[in-house]
Order: sequence, then structure tokens, then C-alpha cells
Amino acid sequence: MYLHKLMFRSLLRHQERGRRLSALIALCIAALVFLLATMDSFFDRYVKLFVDTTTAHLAIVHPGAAELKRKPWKRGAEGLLLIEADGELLDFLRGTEGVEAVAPIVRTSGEFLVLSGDQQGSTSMVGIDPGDRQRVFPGLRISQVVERPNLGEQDLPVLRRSVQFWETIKVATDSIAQGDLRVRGEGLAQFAERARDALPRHVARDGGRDMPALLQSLDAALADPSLYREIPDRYRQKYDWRLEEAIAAAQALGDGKERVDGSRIRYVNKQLLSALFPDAISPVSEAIRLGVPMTFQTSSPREIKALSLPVVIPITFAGFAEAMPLYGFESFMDIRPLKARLELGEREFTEVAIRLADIGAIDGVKARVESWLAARGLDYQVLDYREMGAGYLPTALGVKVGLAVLAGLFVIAAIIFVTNMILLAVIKRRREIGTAVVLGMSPREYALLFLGEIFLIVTIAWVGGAILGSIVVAAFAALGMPGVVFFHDGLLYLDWNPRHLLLAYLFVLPGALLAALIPVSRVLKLKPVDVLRETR
Amino acid sequence: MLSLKLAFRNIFANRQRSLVIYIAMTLISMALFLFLSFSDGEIENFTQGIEGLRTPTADLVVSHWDYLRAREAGEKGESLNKMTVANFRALAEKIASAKQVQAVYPVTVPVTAGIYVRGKKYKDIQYLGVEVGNDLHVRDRIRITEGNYLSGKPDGLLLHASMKEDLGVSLGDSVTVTGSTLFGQALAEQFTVEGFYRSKIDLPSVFKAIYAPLAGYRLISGHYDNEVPFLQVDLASSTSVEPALNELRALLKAIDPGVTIHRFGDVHQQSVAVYGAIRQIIISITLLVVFVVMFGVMNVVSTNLVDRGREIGTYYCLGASRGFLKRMYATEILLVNLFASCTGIAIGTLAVWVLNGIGFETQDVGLQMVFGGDRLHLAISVSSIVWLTGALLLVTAATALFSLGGALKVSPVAALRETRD
Repeated sequence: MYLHKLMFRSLLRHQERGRRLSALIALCIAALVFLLATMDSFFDRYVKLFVDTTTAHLAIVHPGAAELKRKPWKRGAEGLLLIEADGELLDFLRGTEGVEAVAPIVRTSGEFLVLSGDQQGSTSMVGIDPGDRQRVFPGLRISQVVERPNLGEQDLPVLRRSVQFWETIKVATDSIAQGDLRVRGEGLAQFAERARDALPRHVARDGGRDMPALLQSLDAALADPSLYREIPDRYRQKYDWRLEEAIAAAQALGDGKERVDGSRIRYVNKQLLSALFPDAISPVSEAIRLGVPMTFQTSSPREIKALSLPVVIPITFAGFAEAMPLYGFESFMDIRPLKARLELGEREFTEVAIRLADIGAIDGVKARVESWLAARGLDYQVLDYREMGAGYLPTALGVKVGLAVLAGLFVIAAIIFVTNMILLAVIKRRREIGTAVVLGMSPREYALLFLGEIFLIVTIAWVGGAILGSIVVAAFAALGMPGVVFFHDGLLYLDWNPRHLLLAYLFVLPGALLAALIPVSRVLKLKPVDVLRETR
Repeated sequence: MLSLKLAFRNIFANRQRSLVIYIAMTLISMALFLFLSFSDGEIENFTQGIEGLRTPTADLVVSHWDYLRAREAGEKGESLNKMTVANFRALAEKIASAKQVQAVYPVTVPVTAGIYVRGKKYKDIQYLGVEVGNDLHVRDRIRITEGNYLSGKPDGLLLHASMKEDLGVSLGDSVTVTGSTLFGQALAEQFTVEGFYRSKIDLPSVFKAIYAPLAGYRLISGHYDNEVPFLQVDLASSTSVEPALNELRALLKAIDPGVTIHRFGDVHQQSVAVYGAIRQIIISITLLVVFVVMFGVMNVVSTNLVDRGREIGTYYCLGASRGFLKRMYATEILLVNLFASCTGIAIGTLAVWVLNGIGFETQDVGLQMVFGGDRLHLAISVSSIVWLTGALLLVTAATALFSLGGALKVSPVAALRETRD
């Protein structure tokens, strides 16, 4: 009991040094808590994002598709690998304990084409019942959904995959600059002449004298809502669909009768000028917009001749769907029209996605589904998210290992600093130790006293570090950690978990006690005679 | 100078304390160095590996005179594909005759088309063309795993080794390349498989291509004979780029105003978006480590100095000024940190050599993504060393600024009293 008393007294006597050590360990513990939270949050949220947006927990697929699933980038032959999912299978799955949602899916890949035939992007198209979509993939972020403006059957609504950075237009679409002109030298002079001839009201006689004046005239012309009216008939004698489309678009803005965004008028007029002088002005890229008629072109699911006609589906973008920000290339549409266009049978699908209420039940449910399929002589494969995520999970694992190494580094740093502080304390307290030993305390007891002090200091530091670490984690839990491009908006939201606090304590305390043993072992070797000689 | 001498002496006089900081800083700088080396290595793997195959680096690039402007103006597809270098052979010959030029070779753009093999059709395969005999930029980056390199016959194809299994294709097989050319014409051309290759640093899940000789490539791309997207120029090793660029620009203006020449970086930017993001995360984490370490070092240093009160008092008694002592102790910390940083970097460099020597290879697609290629490669870059040393100097500066002031507030009288006890 007297040891406790001595320990508290000693701590009070050396409180300055104790405070320093305590602050240092608290800082290390706070950093550890933060790193452990980052490590687990990154891994768990990455897996969750993947499961919630792309694969669900389990999928029943054609046996030939199993290899494709394990190597998601390996391309298979054209044609879809189909399974038959009848009502009996779906009822069994929905009735299985632990299953939250089931959705038969048709997954194919293809390209989005704009009306001019240019490719606007490729995608993996997921045909799924809209009612099932958010139940099976609750992590999908659907944005900017527009109401369908009287779309007929010819324009099927599609939730386009999120726009990637390389798809955004990086040039001004509402002004004309030198960079838009395809001509130089003599060609420029000829273009100036033609522009003056076609648009005399806007390009003055001396307007084409030099490049800046010509550009200024053309740029000013973009603001005119009735510019299309000035185009001479001779330009329209030979049918040019680009020019007619551009005129129709300008006309649709209504001659300025209705209030229209000025930049939209300039954009449409720039398209008009580009269509009028295609050899002199670069075509204006159409920004990815909602509600514009497009086509989705995919291979025929059964035809695999060397040259075969693709399946072309008229669509319109009804909104954007963001799955995994870096690797998410999935677009979504209603499974019924997709199946109709692909001419698939009522029971034919490429997979059945299964979402579980608890990820921990995955092995049990998988085994039950496998045995049900085997009992009916079906050779379909049941894949879990780990098998389907062979290409994604190592990224999360790599980050986890890296952060674990850093956490270890912090523990080592804390141990080294503790060793240093105790070493100094032993030197500083030699006379005190000697006196205690002379008064009858054994060196072993004094060593215990030291270790007790360390235990208390680390425990107090842990409380402070845990609070500080929790505050930091809470801040990132609320605001998100920026710059982590693997997640939506580049933000990683941390999850606070008491396990991290406990782990930090369990890492640092034994380390600190072990580190303290090195200097404390000196105490055990002290002889009262030596200490007395020193004090004298 | 005296402060430097004394700082040196003090390091050895307080050997044990210096050793603790030295070991801690060595460990930390080594770990951070290895982290940065990993990040440098994965970027190097990626840029030298498959990104190097897709966009081989060179000193200069000859392109259509309007190519850069058109690309900046957002032109793409057919209108951009039309902007090529015509009569490239004659042009290459003239460029090669310039004394600064080491090599001139045509470079193609990937064409995406299908391939029809043994009754099955595979789409989204990328095709590239090479001028056989003038193709070191490709040959240096690949190794043949089966069969031979392109013989030069127009119908020969060199496939990536993974396609052997993925497409079920063998040497000598006749295959049909299907789809459409860069200009939208229907494409169905017969070719023969001459060999399989792997990139020396492979990442087939991100990029793999089928190579064809230029004569075969133009059937797939739709280009005319004697027309290629780019000519690339390697300069002799001792040549400075700017004068050579100006000279070649003048030469081209005189012989073919339809083309122009640029620095490689003006035309092509290698894409390392994902690995750049990972590097940003690693840099942020090293900052966090440096921040915590800074507090640790500051704490240890100030504790050490408290313990060295008598030493400080003696210096004051001997007439040392506060500024002198600040300089001396700051130099001491700087020297320990600098030595520790150098040792950490040296051990880290050794570890890099050992790990690279072991040559850990993987076929796992996920690990390949993490490594930036099919092998673990750690790289040493000047920027990482500068960053690391700079961070440790920051630690030193912060320690000197925040710890020394308080610790040096020792009265000479108190110091003498203490020594008298």
C-alpha cells in the first residue's frame, strides 16, 4: 500500500517532467487513434462502396462468367453469358433468411453515340428494375434527375455514369478566339472575305483586315439571337444536316422573344458559325447534358459473326449515377426495354444480384444458395463480393497495410521518446533513489514504483490522447477528409470506434513499460554506497 | 565556427541522449523514405511500363501544323484523326540528317477494333502500328514470350501474351480484325499471329495492345500509305533541346509547312491521375508524421536541456551570450537530425536495392494496380530526398524556435549554486 502512496507523491514531486511525457504520449495516442480510424474507415467504406454500388454481396452467374468476375478487366467474347432465373429461384432467394433484396440483372457494355455518330463515352449498362435498383445498390448516388418531358418509346431514359474529368469540355463554348480558327495565312484572308460576304451586318468591310478585328466581329455576332436569319440561301441550297440542325437549334431559342440565357444563345450561334464555315472554325463539342437524344450501341447478345450489326437503342440521359468515383463505369436503365431491345427471353438474365442484411452472414447464405442450385442440377456459380472484387480490394488492402506501418512507426517513436525521458529521470533522481534504498526500500521495489508511475502517466495520457484523437476523428467524420479520390466528392468520412481507443492503449502501454525496463534496470544495479558517495 | 565546434563536442559529450534522437529520427526518415520510394516506384512503373507503350516518350514530336490547336479547341474523333503527318518517310529522312538528331520514328495512335478468332468475336482491342526496323521505342519495352517479333509482312500481328488464354488464339492462327477504322469505314481484314509479347513492366488490366507493321496498321486505322499521326525525334544525348527545336522548326517550315515540331510534353501528357492521388495521400501522411515527430523532438530536446542546466550556466559564466548558445544548440540539433536523416536515407536506399534485387513479381490484377506494374519497384527520386530533408530541417527549425528559448532561461548564479551542491 505504501508503494501507491510513494508513487503518487513522486508523481506530484516530478509533475513538470510527468506532464511533458504525458503530453508527448497523448499526442502519439491521438495520432494512433486517427491512423487506426483512417485505416479501418478507408477499408470498410471502400468495400462497402464497392458492394453497395457495383456487385451487391452475392451474384449468381453463368459458370463461364466466373473467370470474368475474378478478373474484372478481362474481356470475354461478344455475346452475353445468360442464366435462367425463374420465379422459383427468385422466390427461394427472397425467402432465404438474411437476404434483404434480390434483383435479376442484364449487364452489357457499349458506347454512347451523339447524333452526329461521334462516340461520347463507353459504359457498362446495367439493366435493372428501377424499384430494385436502390434496394440492391443503396450506395448509388443519383443526381440531377429530370422528369421525362413526354419521351416516347424511342427515347429510353438512362442514368448515365458520372462524367469523368476527360469528358468535360475545357474550351469556351460561348466565345470565339484564335484557338477556334482552323485557317492561317492566305486561308485566313479568304475566310474573312467569306464571313464578310455571308454576314455583312456583323463583319464590317474593314472587319477582316486583321485577325483581332475579325475575331471581335465574330464574337460580337454570337450575341445576336436572330443571327440564323442572316444566313444567305445559297449556303442552304446543298443539304447539310449540321447546318440545318444548327439553324433549328437557334430558331428554337425564339428570336429573343423569350428570355433565354445569353451564354446559351452564344453557344448555339457558335455552333451555327462552325456549321457555316466548317473548314475555318472548329466544331463546338456538345456538353454532356440531360434530355438530349442519344443512342446506346451494344453488341448483339447472340450474334458473334465477324461482322454483325450492333443493337442500337435510342436513349436520353435522365440523370447521372455515380458508383465508384475512380472505377465506376456503370450506367443504369430499366431492364424491361433493355431486354426487349436485346430480344432476351423472359427468364434470361446475366446475373442475379443478392443483397444481405448482414455482411457477416455471407458464407452461410452462399452455401445455402449453392446447395439449392446443385439440388436442381444447375451449374451456375455463386460469387461473393471478395471474388468479384479481385481487382479493387488490393487497393484498399494496400492503403490499410501502409497506414498500419505508419501506426507501428508511431508506437516505435513513442517508445523511443519514453525511453529517453525515463533515462533522464533515472539520472536526475539518483540521489532520491539512493536515499530511498538506504532507508530500506529494495531496488526492486523502486523499479516497481517507476513502472507504476509510467502506467499512470500512460493511462492519463491515453485519456487525453483518446479525447484529442476522438475530436480529430469526429471532425473528419463530420466534414470528411479531402483529397481521397476513391470516394464520392473525394471525401473520406471517418468512423469513430471505441476499439481504436482500446487498441491505441494496448499498443502504447506495453511498449512504454518495456521501454521503461531499460533505464529501470539501472536502478536494480544501484548500490547505496555509490549513491551516498555521489551525494557527499 | 566556435559554435559548430562546441556543437560537435556536445553531441559526443551527451552521447546517449544524442543517440536516442538519432535512432528515432533515423527510423522515421527511413520509413518515410521507403513510403516515398514506393510512390515514386509505382509512378515510374506506370510511366515506363504500359504508359510508355501507349505514349512512348521522346524529346520532340512532329505533328500536323494544326493538331495542338484543334485538340485544345476540343476537336476529337474523325476531325482530329485527319490531322496527320503526310509523306513521313521523306520528312523523317530529312530530320534524321540534322546533326543533333539520334533517331526519328513514326508513332501511331491506338485504334479500337474487334478481333474474330475461332468463331468468337472480341471487341475493344487496341491496335498500334510500328515501322519494323525502326521500332526501338517498342522493342526496348517488350519481351517476346512465344513466336517471333513482327517479320514485317503486312498481315503479321504481335499479340499480348494474356490474349493467348483470353482469346484462345495460337501462333500462326489466322484472325480477322473487325469493326471500323478511325474514319468510320467498315473493317474486316485478315491477319496472322506471329508472336506473343509481354511488356517488361506489364499492367495488362489497364492497357495492352496488338502490334501490326505500319502497312497492316493503316488497313485498321484507315490512314493513307506514307501517313502517320506523329513522328517522334530522339536527340543525341549531349544536345540541348531548345536550340535543336528551333533549328528543326526552321527546317520543317522550309520543307513542309503542313507540319510542325514541339517538345514531347507539349503534345503528350502521360496520365498518372490515380497514382498522383495516392502520392498526394502519402505526402499528406508524411506531413502528419513530421508534425507529431516535431513535438516529440521538441519535448526530448527541452527535457535534455533542462537536465543540462549546469552546462548552460557554465557557458553563461564563461561569457557566452544567449544568441551564441541558441546558435550552438540549434547547430547540435541540426547536426543530429541531418546525420539521422542521411543514415535513414542511406539505409532506405539499401533496402530499395535489396527489394528491387529480390524482384517481387505478381500476376494478381489488384496488386499490379497497387504496384503500377507486375513487379514491386521502389524508386529513388531527388524530389523525395529534398522533401524528406526539408521536412527534417523544418523539425529542427521548429525545435530551435520553440524549445531553445525557454530552456536557455538559466541564471548563471543558479547554475553555480547547483554545481556547488
